[in-house]
Amino acid sequence: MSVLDIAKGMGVTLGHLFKKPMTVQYPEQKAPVQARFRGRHHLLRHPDTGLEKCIGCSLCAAACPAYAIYVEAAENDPANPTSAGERYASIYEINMLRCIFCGLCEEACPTGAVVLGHEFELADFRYQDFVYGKEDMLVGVKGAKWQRREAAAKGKDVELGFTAPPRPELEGVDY
Amino acid sequence: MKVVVDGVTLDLPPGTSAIDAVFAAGSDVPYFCSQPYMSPIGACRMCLAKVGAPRKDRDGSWILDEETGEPKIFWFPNLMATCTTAVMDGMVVDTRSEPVKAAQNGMVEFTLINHPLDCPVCDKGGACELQDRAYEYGEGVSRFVFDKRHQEKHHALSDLITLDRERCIHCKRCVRYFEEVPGDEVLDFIERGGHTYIGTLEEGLPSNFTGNITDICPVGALLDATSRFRGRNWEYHHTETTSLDDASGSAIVVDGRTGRIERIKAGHHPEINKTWIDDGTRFGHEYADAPDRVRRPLVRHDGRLVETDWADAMDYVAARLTEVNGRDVGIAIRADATLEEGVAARALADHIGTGQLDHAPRPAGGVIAAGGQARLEELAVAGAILVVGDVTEEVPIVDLRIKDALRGVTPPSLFDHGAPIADLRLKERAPRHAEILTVAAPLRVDLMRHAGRAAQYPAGGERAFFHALTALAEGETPADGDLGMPLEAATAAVDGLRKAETAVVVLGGWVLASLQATEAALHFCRAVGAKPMLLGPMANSYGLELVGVAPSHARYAYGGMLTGAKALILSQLDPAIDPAVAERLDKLELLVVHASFLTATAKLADVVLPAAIGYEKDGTVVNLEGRMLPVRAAPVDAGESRDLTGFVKAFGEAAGQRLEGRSVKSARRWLKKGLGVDLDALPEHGGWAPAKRGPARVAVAVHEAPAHGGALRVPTMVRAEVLDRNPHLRAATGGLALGLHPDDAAALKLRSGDEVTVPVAGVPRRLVVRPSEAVPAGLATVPATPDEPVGLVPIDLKQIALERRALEVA
Amino acid sequence: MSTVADKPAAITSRFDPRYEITLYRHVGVDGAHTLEHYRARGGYRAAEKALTEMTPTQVIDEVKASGLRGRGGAGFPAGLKWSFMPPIDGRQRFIVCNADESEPGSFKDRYLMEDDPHQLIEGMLIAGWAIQATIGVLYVRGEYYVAYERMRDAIAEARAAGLLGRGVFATEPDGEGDEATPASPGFDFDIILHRGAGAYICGEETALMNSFEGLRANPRLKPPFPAQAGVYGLPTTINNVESFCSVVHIVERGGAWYASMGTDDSKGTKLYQLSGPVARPGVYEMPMGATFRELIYDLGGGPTEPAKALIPGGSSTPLLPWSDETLDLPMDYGTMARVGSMLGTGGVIVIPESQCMVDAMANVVRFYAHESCGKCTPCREGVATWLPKMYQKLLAGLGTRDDLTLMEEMVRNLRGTAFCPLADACAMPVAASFQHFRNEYEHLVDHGAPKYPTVSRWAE
Repeated sequence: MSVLDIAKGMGVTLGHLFKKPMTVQYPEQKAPVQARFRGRHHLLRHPDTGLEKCIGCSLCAAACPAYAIYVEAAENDPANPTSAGERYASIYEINMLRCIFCGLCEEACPTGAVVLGHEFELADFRYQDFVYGKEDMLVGVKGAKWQRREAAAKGKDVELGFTAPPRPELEGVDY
Repeated sequence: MKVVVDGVTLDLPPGTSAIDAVFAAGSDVPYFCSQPYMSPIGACRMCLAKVGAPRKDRDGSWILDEETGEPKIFWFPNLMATCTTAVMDGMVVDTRSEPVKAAQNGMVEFTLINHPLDCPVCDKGGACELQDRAYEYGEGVSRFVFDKRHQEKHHALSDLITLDRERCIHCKRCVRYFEEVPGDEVLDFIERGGHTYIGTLEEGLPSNFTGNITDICPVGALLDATSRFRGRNWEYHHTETTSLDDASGSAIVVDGRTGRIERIKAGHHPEINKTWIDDGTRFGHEYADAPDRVRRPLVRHDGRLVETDWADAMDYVAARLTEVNGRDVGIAIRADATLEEGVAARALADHIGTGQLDHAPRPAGGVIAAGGQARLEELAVAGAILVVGDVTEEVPIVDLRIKDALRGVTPPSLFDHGAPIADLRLKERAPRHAEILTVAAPLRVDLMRHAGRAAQYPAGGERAFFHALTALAEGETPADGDLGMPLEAATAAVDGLRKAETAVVVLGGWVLASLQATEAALHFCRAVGAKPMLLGPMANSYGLELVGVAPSHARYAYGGMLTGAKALILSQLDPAIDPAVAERLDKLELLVVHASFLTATAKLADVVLPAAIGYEKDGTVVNLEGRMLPVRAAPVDAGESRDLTGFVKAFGEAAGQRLEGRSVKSARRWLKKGLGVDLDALPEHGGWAPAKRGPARVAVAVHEAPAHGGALRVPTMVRAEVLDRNPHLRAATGGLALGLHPDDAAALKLRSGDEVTVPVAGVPRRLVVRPSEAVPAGLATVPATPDEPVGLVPIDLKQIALERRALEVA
Repeated sequence: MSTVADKPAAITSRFDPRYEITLYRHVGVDGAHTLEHYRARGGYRAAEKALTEMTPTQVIDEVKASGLRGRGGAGFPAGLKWSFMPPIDGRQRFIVCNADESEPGSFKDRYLMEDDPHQLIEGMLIAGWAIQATIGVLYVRGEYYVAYERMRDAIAEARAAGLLGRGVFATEPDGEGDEATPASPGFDFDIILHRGAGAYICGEETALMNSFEGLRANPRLKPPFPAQAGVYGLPTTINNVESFCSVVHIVERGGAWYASMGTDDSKGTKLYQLSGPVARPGVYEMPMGATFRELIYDLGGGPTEPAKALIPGGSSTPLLPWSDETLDLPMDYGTMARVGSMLGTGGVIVIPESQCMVDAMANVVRFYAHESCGKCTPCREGVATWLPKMYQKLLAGLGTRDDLTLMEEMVRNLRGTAFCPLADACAMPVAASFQHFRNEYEHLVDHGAPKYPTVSRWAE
């Protein structure tokens, strides 16, 4: 190894000293995520009727390689339907500890009801807080469980720690 | 006959259908309309194949191919539906060539053009024949660009079955099933051409075997309403087991998901139920998940039942039992306990040192005939049948096997792929030999519609009926009125039984309720050379009699121990529904109740232990023919419920003893030693029970009081004691019925649908009034339960109390 | 097709001296439907001869010798069919007359029943004797009300005259000593007249039997054939009206006489029906093997406008293009099969040049779609659902060349795959129209409008 080589190496280091740093001061600073990023799931609704897109078919659960999804279906009340058609999901749970965010559920979904969004701030304290139900994932619910818990305690709105470009599949999801 | 399928040469019996030849050769053709045990009709046109056969010359020799010198194969000009083509000697079937593939492909395309393809919301999705076949034989794309046929998507055919008319592919299996199997023509096609749909003339499906159409429907058109949207097929855990709902030992498949039983489907036992089960068995499972199930042991503290665990509860029981003389302890179990549970009960009785051991209900006449009894296979080919009782309600499968005999087609022999897919001997609307069947009962029963002769003898007159028949058989003239049918008809019935190669006399619960009637019946059977078939009241009546779960003396029988014992251990029995018995039970030193629900008896108990239901047990039962059949536990969340072996295990641990029958395994060791049967090596379809009885104990007849009274307790296909916890079945049956002759009902100012409470043999029963011409005047019918077995009992119609008036129908 | 409904005086060829009229000799004559008229002209002599002088086997042999082939469309030898009946075993046997004449283009049986009902009764009586069936079933098409009335009255007349009922042609002992003829109990035979409810499928023999029994008119599985298990599962023989009527003349004048007419494989005379734009449409009785030219030009007076195709035997038979070769073809079973068509019922329909072929076929398909029973998949989904929709699409000008390929493939899938011949009956003419007139289809999809204007005569 020659002195020249050492100088070359030092040069690289020196060069970086004058570049814009990659580090994001998260959480003070919002982290940008790519459109293709896969975070926690959203359950979508038909924008015109407001009915849930999910029909409780359990195909996402069947496709899930980590067995993270549990669905129980029930029959719609024709007078006051939850989803279009006869069947809706009365229970829809995803265990975020088990989920590997592979997106196979999204691919399996025949109605485009479950879509992986951008939220990734899911760390929490208790096991049951990682099991997300319909009330945690339906369109309009912003933030992970703990974020909403804290926001409610403080009386503030949920603030997400990232910025994301819009994605057409995430119909009606507002970050 | 030599048949070549896709190059595989087979030797098949004449009469085999080409589709079975194809499957026997390991090849495959799709099919929708064929169904084992039903007539082939060739409607779906899926099973098309290229078929050819050699021809014979005028002189009787084969026409030879000039090139090869082999018999020349003359191909049929059109592709043949293999399900309706019989094999011919030398026939060649080709299922793999291009034209065959194109035709099958075309048929799949035709079938799918009007199918809604709503698989994600369809309960059949994942177990759907159309889905599978479309995947295997279809193109994967549709060229049909027009609107599909729109029809009713949610049509409740009955309270138990939902019909989706868009999904129907018109295979006609359900329509044929009703005509061919139970013989109730309640469903048919309506309209024609592209507008064809299935429907009923009246409301509902008036048949006792409607649920089977949900099994055989190749698509999701006919679905079980109890499991509607409960889960997807791949999520269910399928447990193949034996039904404990009646004595037939029908094979069932219990489908459970996340610890709940969601549905029951028919299993396949070629010699018992084939692929059919009755609606009581199929839809009567909801009680297993009833919210009021006892899931943890309860012990009485300061007058209140408090939840505890098995060890605590059993410590309490063991301690309290030491205060009672062993001989004063009574142990009674219900007659649908498994053989292993029977062994456990015996071991418990031996340990405690009591002779007061019994199972209930236990008919006075017993359920094992000394000279052997008829098998269901024999019944299905019998040339003459006499039925005394209401078999349709007692053991519905016996009803179906009798209808097999009426069709006169012997059961098919099985292929490697199971029962023949297309049995060409079976025909649509085949004539029935009603003349071979005689049905006798004190009231008009359903099977009489199919019988050549029907007899309506006076209630309680079973013994006189058989005496009269025996007199006829011996050439004497019987007393008038005992036969309930004209003398000529009775003579014809007796002659038929005597002349038939296989003659079977089916003895229902009303006969077995009386020792004398049973003896008279068996005497008659011997006189005419007929085999008896005894319909035990519950699933394992035969087995428990065999193992000897019986008292050491007549006065220690179940009825006796309720008054005589100082401490009682009752499993799944509920005698306290009788207020007089309840009063006595309240004064016992110790009452231990092993029950699934907080019954009237459990409410009086010192200790309540959660009991496993039939779907939650492992073990063995012996059906009415004496066939040992496996019972397997479905993965169900039943809390801390245990069966009797678990009970005995916990008791043994508390008492510091390793009792026999402390587990299924330990009970089986005893059975191997005692009866010489190795239940661990039981074949798939069961094995015959040994003739040898269990040692030590001898079944003793209960003391028989002469039957009298105005009420006849009748068997029901549904479990009457839990009907309220089976909401779908309750809606379908309209509740437990008080059957009255219309004139009697009018005299009491009752109309159909009125809810009343009436004391029957001292037990206040809440029933729904159902006036019916089938019930003779002066008689009332009430459903039997395990605690109120079939038979004639007193009723006090003066004390009838109207609970709720039925709505007046305009 | 207004010419069919009102019956012109010259609907038969009885004025043509070249042909001897047998079956239709009373048709078009006022009052010919009465027993009096029929008997005055030798009626029931054949039946008397068969029942008193011939054994059943002799009758069957005579019919076999005549070479008579079933006139309902399939052309199965009648005598052979009769000989398939199982030996007499005490079971009731039936002779069924298929008078459910519903094939578009066929109207011969109607006039046989309306104007000469006794000829049919006599034919059934003879056939009943031949197969020893004591019950005849006459299944009349629901729309043929006049025919039904005439048959009803004729049966009543025949009953009153002792020609139906117990002991038909019973005789007293005659003569004395060795020359005495013993008394004959006669033959018990009666006819049940059944009116259909208007379904083409009931012309299929097993569907007809189901319909007669009060069941859904679905075709039955064969085997068992009607001879083994027909009406109510009992031995049955079923034939067409024209076949029964022919039997009368075969018995009267001998099988050899009958066989002397016609061609090698098709004997006797046949009622040809001519419809479409011709000068004199109607039913013409001619010996088998007469040519289209004779029928259309000599008897029918020729087309009134340029023609481009003809349908040789009712709407279910594949059409043939109009040409000199076609016109010179003899109309018999063998020739028609050779050129890829069928003789069917002999209902010849002339299709004029001005008629859009796609529209004509759409009409044919609409008919079969309406009449499909819905039992089997290809017919219910292909014939009754998809094919008519494709024609609708084409005629609306929305079709593409791909649609034509699809339709051809669909028609291929329909041929020989369905349970009964109804799907074939629909698929064959469509396939033939694609074979001979694909240019019209292509013109339609390419231009969005048919080559020839759709004419009001096919309109709904």
